[in-house]
Amino acid sequence: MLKSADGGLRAVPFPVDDPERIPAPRYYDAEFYQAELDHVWPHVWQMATRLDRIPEVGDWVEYQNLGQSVIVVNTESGVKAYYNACRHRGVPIAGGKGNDHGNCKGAGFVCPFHGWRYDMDGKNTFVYGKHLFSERQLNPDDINLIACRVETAIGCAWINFDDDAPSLRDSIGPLIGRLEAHNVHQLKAEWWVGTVLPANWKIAMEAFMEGYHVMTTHPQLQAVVPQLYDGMYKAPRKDQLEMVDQSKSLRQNIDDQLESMLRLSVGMDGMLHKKELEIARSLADVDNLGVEFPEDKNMALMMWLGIVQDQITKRLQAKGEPVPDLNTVCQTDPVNAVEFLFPHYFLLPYFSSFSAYRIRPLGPETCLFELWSLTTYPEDTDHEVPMEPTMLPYDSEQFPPIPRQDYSNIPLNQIGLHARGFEFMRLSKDVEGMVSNFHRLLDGYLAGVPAEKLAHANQMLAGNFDGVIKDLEF
Amino acid sequence: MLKSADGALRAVPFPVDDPERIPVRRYFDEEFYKLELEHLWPHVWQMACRLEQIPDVGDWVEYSNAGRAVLIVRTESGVKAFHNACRHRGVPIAGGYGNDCGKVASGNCAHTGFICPFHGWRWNIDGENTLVYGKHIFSERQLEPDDINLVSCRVETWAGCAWINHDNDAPPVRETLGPVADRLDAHGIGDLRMEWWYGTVLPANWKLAMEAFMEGYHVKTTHPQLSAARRDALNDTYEQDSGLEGTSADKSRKNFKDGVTTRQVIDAQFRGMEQLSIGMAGMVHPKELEIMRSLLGAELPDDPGLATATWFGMVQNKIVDELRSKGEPIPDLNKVAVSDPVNAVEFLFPHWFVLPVFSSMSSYRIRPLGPESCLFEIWSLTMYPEGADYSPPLEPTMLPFDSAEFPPIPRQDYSNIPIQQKGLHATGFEFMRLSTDIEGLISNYQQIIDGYLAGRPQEQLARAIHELGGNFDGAIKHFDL
Repeated sequence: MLKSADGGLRAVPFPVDDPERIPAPRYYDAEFYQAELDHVWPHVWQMATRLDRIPEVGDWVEYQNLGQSVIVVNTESGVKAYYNACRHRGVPIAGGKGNDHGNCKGAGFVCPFHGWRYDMDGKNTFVYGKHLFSERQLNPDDINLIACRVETAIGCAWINFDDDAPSLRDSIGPLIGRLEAHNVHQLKAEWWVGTVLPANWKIAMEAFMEGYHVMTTHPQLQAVVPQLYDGMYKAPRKDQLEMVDQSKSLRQNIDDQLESMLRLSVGMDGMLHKKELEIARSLADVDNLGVEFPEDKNMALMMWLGIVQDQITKRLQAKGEPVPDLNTVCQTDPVNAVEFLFPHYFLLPYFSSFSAYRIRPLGPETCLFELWSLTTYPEDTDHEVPMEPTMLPYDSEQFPPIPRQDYSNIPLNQIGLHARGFEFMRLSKDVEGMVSNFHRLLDGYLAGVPAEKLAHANQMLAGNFDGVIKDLEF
Repeated sequence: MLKSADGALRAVPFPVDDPERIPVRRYFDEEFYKLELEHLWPHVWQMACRLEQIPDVGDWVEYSNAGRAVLIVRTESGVKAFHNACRHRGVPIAGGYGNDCGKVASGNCAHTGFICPFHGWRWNIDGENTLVYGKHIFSERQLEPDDINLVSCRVETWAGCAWINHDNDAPPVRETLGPVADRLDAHGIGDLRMEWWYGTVLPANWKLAMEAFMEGYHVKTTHPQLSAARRDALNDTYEQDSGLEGTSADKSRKNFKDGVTTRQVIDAQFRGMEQLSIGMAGMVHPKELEIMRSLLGAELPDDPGLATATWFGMVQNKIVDELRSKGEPIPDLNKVAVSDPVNAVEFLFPHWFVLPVFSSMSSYRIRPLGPESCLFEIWSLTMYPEGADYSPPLEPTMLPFDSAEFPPIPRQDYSNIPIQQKGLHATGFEFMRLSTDIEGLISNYQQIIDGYLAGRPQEQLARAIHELGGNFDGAIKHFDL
């Protein structure tokens, strides 16, 4: 598996030599960007599409990243993917603009240039004027579409250009199973928006790898439950997180929780779905729940949250929504406030609904950032899943308030990186570890570390939100 | 000071090999533009802000150019500057707009200091870190005081402005600009204040935009109203043979049409000044123009040359007397005109201009936004009585470059500059073809740019920059670069 006979690795430009310090040129240097294009993107599992866009046999969508276009198709025998180029002269057989979609069940794919045709399994079904070509030019294997590796998990199709890479599940690790226990594969997109940010793709992502920024970037979240955030960042963490303000009654603390939930729900226009908030609010009157709460307010609040989760589970299940038993899965399969799936997909769980992000580079200092609100629907829902993101300017007031706050920092961050004397990111070893671990995993790809070791390191990112710097064991 | 042991200099693409011919690619080539960003801008003194923008302790403004942002702050111990990036993860601690929209971020940090909008780290007015939220989550070595204070940027003040330089080895700003700085000081340049401030984005290379102001040769065609005002009485000095042999009286006589009277000459001079005042909405300030007007009937000698000199002397005297009596800090204009003569345009390398006439001035600053786009600002500067109520504009009024709100003279220049940028791309247009005698400033400052790109020693470059002072409309000088 080593890349050269003498076991040598490639030299990495601006490497992370000190895990607590990330060199600034990694976020704008053209050579570094090119190295990512050459050695990272062609070897990683990319979230190509949500499966809710291709529910029927024949449904296809196009996924484009860094100039590579792939068609993902739902077939009788599962989801397949093809490199999007006619085997004749290379015109994309469908789409080509980046976000196209359709159904090929009846017509197959017809190249718009000379009319060559392919079926949903990628087999060539028609060459117009066969006699014009030498026989050897039309060997069946040579004119079928070239398959791209694709796997499905947690409601998405994932593609990888590297046929030797470990499987998606071996790359991400047990986190996939934990997310499945939360029924992530059952979620559907409620809405989907996108924006172009004038920032390196990594800068855009790193704003979501720690909660340390909440106090300043999202002060409205901190203000309502200050003891919670202070307990996590301001002072050294205790074994038991201080969930409550001891000077207030249980009822008052629950009101604060509800206000916090409201601000999250409105702030993300989802993640904590308004239907869940409504259920939580209906449980505010603690004295009339017919439950004996313990004296210890922290324990009492935890108990109340258990009741909320129980009621969300029961009431949404009663409507036919595929919600798991939230109290069970948060014990058996705990997930973090943010889960990053290397290299570019995020899931943000709360109760049964999620937010999701996907980020793609468009150049050394620009990227495409997409946001989804995901939730469960009854099986017989007539909800129409969005087929394309609504594109907005990054400073649009149509973005929910929390992303808007993040998007106001991210482009500034990119500018600040160029200031004289700013040589590196100065990371906290305790809560910004994911930023460091992510960068050192990238360095592993850039250097050509064996794929198994990269997968092992990738698995360490699971649950690493707000976490420590780890030894990736390369 | 040499950049390598063997004294080698960097190769400059499209160099000015023939001083009379400026290769056209210098105005649009991507590589050339990148080299300017890398080797010119980080080593020069840049006029970063006017000091009226930061009158009180704690006042700060952001200055951004060529991708790098700096905060300039008025402190108890003078003006300071800091590179605008949090020492944690690099978010600008204030402002951060960049400069492409012409917005100028400003505020006062006397009480609150600076607070990074990402994680809330804080700094005081002197750039010292005063708060790291959750110190315990960092390794101790990550929080060494010197490492988390703001990185200071070199800053000096001169001419009512703060000047920054990213290069700690460059000579001080006045040593760099040379004697023209002293001459402008004698004219009280440090006492001027902004009357108004406009900005526009021009679709042209920053150098092209500047070069329209490095000679007066374009006036007859670009600003015909200025020469028309004097046409009846005065000859066109650019049209004549410049081989000025003979006595100074001969030269003076050459300026006038045959048989004109003193009265006609003075009227023509006044109409010219009036057109300038209207055309620039300042420079010859209306208050000065009124004083001129009041002297139109003054007794003067019959010889037009002598009369012109006498009349301008009277005008300058009266401007000094009247404006001083109102409390304006006007220098003795007749005295400084002799002791410290300044030109109609003074270019302060690399990107600031002042245009003095009497006691008021116009001023320009130009910043690149890309190979073929730049930000052009114009100020009207004048003096105010000491202690008078004065509130400066805090940012430029941004206008489209073809806006009718611009004063007439800049509007005429702005109509040429964008089309000139297009003309540069014409097939067969390989170089600017300069006049040896009056477009020398263009050739000379372009050669200095080559000196920076090649990595010449700063002292040598400063000596060349000295030669730019007073060379408006001047000849190409020989530089030993």
